[in-house]
Amino acid sequence: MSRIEVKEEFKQLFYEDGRINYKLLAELGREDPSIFESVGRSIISRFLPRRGVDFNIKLKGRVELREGEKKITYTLSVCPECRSLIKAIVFERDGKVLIRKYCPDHGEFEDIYWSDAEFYYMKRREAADGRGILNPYVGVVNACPFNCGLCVRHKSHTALLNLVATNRCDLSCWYCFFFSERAGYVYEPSLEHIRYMLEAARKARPIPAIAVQITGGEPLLRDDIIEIIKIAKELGYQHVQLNTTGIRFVEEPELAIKIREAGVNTIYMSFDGVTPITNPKSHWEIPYILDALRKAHLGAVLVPTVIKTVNDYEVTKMILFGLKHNDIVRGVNFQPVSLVGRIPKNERNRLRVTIPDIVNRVEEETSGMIRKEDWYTVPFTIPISEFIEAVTGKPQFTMSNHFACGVATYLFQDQKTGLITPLPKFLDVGGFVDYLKELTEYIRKGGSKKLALLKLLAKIGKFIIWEHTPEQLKKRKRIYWMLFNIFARHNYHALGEFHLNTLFVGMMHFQDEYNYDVARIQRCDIHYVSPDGRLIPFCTFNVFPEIYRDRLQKIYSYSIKEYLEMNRLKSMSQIKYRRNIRKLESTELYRKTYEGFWDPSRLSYEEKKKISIRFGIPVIEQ
Amino acid sequence: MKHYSINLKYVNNYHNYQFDMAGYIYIPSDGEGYKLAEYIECEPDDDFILYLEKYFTEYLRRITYNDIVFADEYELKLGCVDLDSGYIVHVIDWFKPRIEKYIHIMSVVDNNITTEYLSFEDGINRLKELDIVLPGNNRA
Repeated sequence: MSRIEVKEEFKQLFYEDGRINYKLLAELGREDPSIFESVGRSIISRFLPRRGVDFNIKLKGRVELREGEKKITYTLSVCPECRSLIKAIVFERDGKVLIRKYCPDHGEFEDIYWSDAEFYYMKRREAADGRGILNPYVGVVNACPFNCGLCVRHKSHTALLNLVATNRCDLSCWYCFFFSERAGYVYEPSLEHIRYMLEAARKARPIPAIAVQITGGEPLLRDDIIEIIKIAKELGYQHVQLNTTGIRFVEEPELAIKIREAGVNTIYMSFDGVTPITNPKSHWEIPYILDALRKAHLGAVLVPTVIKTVNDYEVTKMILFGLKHNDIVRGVNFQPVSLVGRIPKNERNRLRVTIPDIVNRVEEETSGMIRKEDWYTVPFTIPISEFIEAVTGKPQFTMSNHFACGVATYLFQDQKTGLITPLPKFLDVGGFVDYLKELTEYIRKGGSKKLALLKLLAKIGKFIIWEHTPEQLKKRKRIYWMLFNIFARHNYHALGEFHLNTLFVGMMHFQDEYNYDVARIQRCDIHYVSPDGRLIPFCTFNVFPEIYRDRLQKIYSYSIKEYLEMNRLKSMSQIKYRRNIRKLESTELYRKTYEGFWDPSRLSYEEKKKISIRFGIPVIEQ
Repeated sequence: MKHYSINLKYVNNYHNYQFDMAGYIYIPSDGEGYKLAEYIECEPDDDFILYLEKYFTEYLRRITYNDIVFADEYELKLGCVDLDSGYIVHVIDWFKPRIEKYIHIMSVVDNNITTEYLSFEDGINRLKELDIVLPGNNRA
């Protein structure tokens, strides 16, 4: 690490290797929290990626199309070999959308972008841009995406802020390089530092961050997690989400009640399948985690990372599992795998899953019950924000991701018949949004806001397709009154009630160096707050860890030795989780949770043990 | 003193990435103003995209915030005069995202850059205050 030039007054804070003496900074921050901002701003220019060292710009040359290929759009990408900004083309071939890029030094790279061109064109119509931010934290020094912080080029405000509370973890998953022992340091910002970071994101204009996800490592390893949640609530975050494996709830179920009472709205947790083969990370613990959340009345979103040939054959089962536990599971949010590191083309083709692969598989496996046209992209919701903005005259929270980043739908299951109905089957969502656009235009041209609202209320019923509406929503015209309450009375309690009866199913495809598209990054609305106060889009923070995530966290870290001494620990492995498969499988709760999905007798105990150990979780007998 | 004009088309949005640059370089003509010396058409220089984004993205968003959607589709004609006194004056005719004319005055003194983005009328007045005469008597 190069030496960091810092102001004279902060020099005592830095070690020779450029790392901050975090113990000292945390102590000073307890007395004067403004030091976090002063230190961050004083060294920010040194943290930004440097051209010629961290990246290059190589825009010479053209990316050519071949016979049978049709251009969709030109864009910019990065070279997976030298991390240079290079030219790319998104094109159609054999009914698929691909991205090809050209580096003058390393040649051509090609990867699948969306596996269904027809679906791509259908969803592209929903594309729309947001308004970005008024008060960029960094100036324009480098080319995008090597200038993150955010800068004036960014087109979306923060919709979900990620706060890394620690890089310690009680698991050691084989594929992860992020946790403290492998990273070689402990990143764990103090409470005062966390307050500064959360405040920094609240200062963004015109729309401050209102939703935060506390993540890690494993955030539940922090003894002061309740304080962190309370700080977020105190600063005005309306939605607080905790990204956890939930494994700590197995031994300490009352912790779920405590974090719900402190202000957590949702638990966001990894769930890669319904069997131990597909979900070696938490298969045995899931029944107990869901039970703890049930008792705490705390909803969960299951988050499967989908990999072709590994667990893609279980996507529909995972949705059905979510519906089975819909009393506590609020959503299933699939994440098609992001292929990190150098991976040969054949191997990428074997593992790569894109959004349409999941959509088409679900349609096929549900015999058309959940159709392709039932999915909508994230920016599809922009006209709703624009309508409310036109009515209230105030800038509104807008989800303006690139359309190719994600899609979602809502499912409603009839409690008597078990029939699954996606929301677009009983609500003409497209027609409704088109009508909102029309009304927004009417208000913008000087039309009466009251009249626009009256028109909307008079017409709401026309967008409901009563013959397909599930019985529970048909009774006393519940669906009508729900929409009426949301748009006429701005009563979001009705929306909450709707969520309780439905399953959100979404997908968010994070990028990697092979399918990287700068047009997507400039629209990202899922940001990390860094220890120096910058807001960094998800797919730059994690795709270029050496110049964003790891660089920043290493500078603001404790050495392992320092951390062990401070906490009187002998080794970091003291916090590691060890699994008792026999005990976890022995209960009625385990059997009932997986009833209809998995028969534990299909694998021998030795096979199960091997699965757990190979994944990185030791097994104990007692 | 250098004097040139550039036609620039820069598209970086959902549906396209394109960068076209063509322009004219003028040279002084025996005290009689300037004469056309060369027509140039070129591939974007690696540095130019950064220059463009650094000055024009910020500039464009400052003048159009809340007025247009943030489309990154610029088409403009840039007339530039680089003066020996350290001032660089851009007279910019915007064609996209909307038709406007602006003057951008940069001053480079001891490597410190200050910039002023002004409407055409305010720019002309400011140039008079600074005693800067552009080729064509400040009519750009």
